[in-house]
Amino acid sequence: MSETPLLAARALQVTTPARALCTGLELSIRPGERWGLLGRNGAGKSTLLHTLAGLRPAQAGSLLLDGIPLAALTPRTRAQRIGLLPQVHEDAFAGSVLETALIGRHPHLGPWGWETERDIELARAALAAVGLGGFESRRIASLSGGERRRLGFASLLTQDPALYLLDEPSNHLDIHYQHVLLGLLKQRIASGARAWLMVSHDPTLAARYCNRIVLLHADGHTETGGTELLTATALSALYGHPLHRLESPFGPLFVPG
Amino acid sequence: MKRALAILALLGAAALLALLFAALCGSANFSLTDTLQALLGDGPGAAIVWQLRLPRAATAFVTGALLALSGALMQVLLRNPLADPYVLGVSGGAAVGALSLLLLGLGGLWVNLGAFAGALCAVTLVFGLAHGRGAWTPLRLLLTGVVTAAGWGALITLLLSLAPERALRGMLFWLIGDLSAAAVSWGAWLVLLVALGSAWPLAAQLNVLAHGELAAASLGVPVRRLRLLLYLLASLLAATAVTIAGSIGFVGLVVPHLLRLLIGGDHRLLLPACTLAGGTLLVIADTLARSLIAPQQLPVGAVTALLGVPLFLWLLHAGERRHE
Repeated sequence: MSETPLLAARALQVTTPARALCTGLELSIRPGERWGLLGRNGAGKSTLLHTLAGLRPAQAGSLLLDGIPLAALTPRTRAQRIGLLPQVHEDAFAGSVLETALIGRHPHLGPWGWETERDIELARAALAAVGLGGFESRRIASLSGGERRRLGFASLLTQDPALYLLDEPSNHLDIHYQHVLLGLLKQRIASGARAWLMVSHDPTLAARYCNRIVLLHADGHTETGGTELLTATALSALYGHPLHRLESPFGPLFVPG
Repeated sequence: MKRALAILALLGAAALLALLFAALCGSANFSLTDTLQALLGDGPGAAIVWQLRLPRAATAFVTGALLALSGALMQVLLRNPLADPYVLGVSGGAAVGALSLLLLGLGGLWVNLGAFAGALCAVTLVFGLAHGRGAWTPLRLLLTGVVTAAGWGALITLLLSLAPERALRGMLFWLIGDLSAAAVSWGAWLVLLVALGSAWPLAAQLNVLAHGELAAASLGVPVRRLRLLLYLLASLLAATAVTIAGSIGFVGLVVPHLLRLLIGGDHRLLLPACTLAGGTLLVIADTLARSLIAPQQLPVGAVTALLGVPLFLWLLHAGERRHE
């Protein structure tokens, strides 16, 4: 574990005009790691995720991508290494499913951005992987919420970044696709120099799919570590609601009291 | 890419046919052979075709192209399919500038200058107000623009109510949009080519921006810079169009929509296609405007709106059915 982390946060401070969301965050995301970020509504999980993605400036501290300051990279270089699955998809115009899967190729294309046959093949393969094979020419406005979410995953798969930042990836997905898609990404991470950090509201899902945990408390302090952080006491304090941990053959289950 | 070239070739051919139609029609009746002969530079109609009809058709073309391209850019910038080149008050500012000078009894080039100055004033005002200290969100920009446009509308009403009878007719014609007084304008062609040349290479970024600013930023699009450029280009295009011909409606709203439905939303194709189709539509509308009840001329703004209103309503209806 001595190689350069994919993404490292050093004494990171993220604040909004209203308050400090986190202070002094130390984080090293290494290849093969699957991070889960948990916290209450409004704790600043998405804002922290966008900061880690390099989309908004941090108020103090530094962020290093492959050892290089993130702010020094061009947006295009950054987008070749970091991909973001946003919490909601905001489509202004109804394009086709294939076009939408292809936007993931954007950071890899030349200035005029015409896709090659290979890009189109990648997009088709990604669509098939998320269960949208045969949907290529459908308008995105006609998709269901879950189908649109799977299309978001397909765009991310065609982008093929090293670090996947996932904002509530299980949103809109049924139980089958939650496990298909997270399983698919887990496989990718196991096979290469990749990692993910996902924001989640489901400690059971995080316990099952993540091997590293960040707890973001409402007062801005953070705890980082392995899945042993996911205790009933710690999570009850995090959410301000009593939670019980039940052991099962598939990992721990967290049930509200 | 082959498909894109085929579509652009088709639209280019349609534009040439529209120009031929414009050369053919008018208060002096020419046959097709007369017209073709005149186009080659001889025959009795050469002067009419080359000095009256074609320059006017060229001006109509450039105006329509400016408006359609501006509309396409404005719709991505504001993330709103109902946006048109005038939605942020460019035409209102231009109208106040032009009408004030008409009211003072000035004419010709002065009115054009007044319109352009008014349009730039509106653009700067909206930009400054929307920028403010807060974030420059599409919604904030749109609301600021719509409210300023309402303010311009009030000033226009005020100017019209203060105007003496003899000035009213010219003022009304300016407001409706009219190409009869327009001169050949190389400046407008230059603006069109520069804007298309700057926007077209960014078309792939516009495709990504259509899926949201966050998604675009995470895919490496410099969103702030792109939005600023879009705002400046769309405003300059609209200001130029309104300076030449007054506020001609519906070209900037309907043409991008029609093309999105027909050829898809890929801006690499959509931007040049809008330029060609917008120009073609306005050449046809203007030719109809000056020949339907010739020698009397109708204002082209009324003809485009009459063509545009049913077309847009149909589009809206067809679109709703597709989503069901």
